Amino acid sequence: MSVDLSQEIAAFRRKKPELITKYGSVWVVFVADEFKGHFPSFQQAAQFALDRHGSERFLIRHTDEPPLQVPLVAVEA
Amino acid sequence: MTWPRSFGPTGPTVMERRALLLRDGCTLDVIIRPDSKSAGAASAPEVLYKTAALIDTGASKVCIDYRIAQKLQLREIDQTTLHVVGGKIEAHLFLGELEVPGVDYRELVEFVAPKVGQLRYEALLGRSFLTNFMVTFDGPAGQVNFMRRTPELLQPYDEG
Repeated sequence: MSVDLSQEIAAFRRKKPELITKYGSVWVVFVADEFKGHFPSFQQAAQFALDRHGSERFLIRHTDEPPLQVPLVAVEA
Repeated sequence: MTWPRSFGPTGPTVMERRALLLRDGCTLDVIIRPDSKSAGAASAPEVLYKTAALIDTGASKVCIDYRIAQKLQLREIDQTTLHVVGGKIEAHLFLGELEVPGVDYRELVEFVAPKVGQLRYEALLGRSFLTNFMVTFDGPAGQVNFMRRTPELLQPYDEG
């Protein structure tokens, strides 16, 4: 099932300092190694990506999001 | 329907509801759908998945069992590595639509789907969802109350 997003992720990492300088804390959309747009909310980024690039593979990522937190510890008595 | 809206375990007495809330937490019924242009939606427009999602302020986003993402053929939009006790696990992020009928919520959201074994709950409603509401954990009453954030209610925060 996994999709290869390595090209998009590498492009995001290369451009990240520039994106932060230009746009600050925003959601960005990448298609292949091209930056396509920046948005204040995830919903706006997702709608843009679907409307313009719905048939393509794309990456949506925040420019300064902290690491994900997912509680995955369960203790059985 | 008016606000606030209350959710929590059902039980004949407050004491029982209180004990159940302490033990199990609070869940909301959710409906998950692929985005309208994904492979899943294209092959079966009415495809959806219903489950009970645990309210979890310890999760930064909405999390789902990765098998739900597989079943619905959700569109993968990012990948990351989670550092957890005992090592690292791969997590894939998917685009999909989350509907929570109890609080009139229906939006495109980012779902985190860690590749782990069976979870007690198939979905967690993390802070990316909770940020849309004012939520009160009323332990003594055995319930959780949701208030919608309206523009008027947001104003003092936005101006501060």
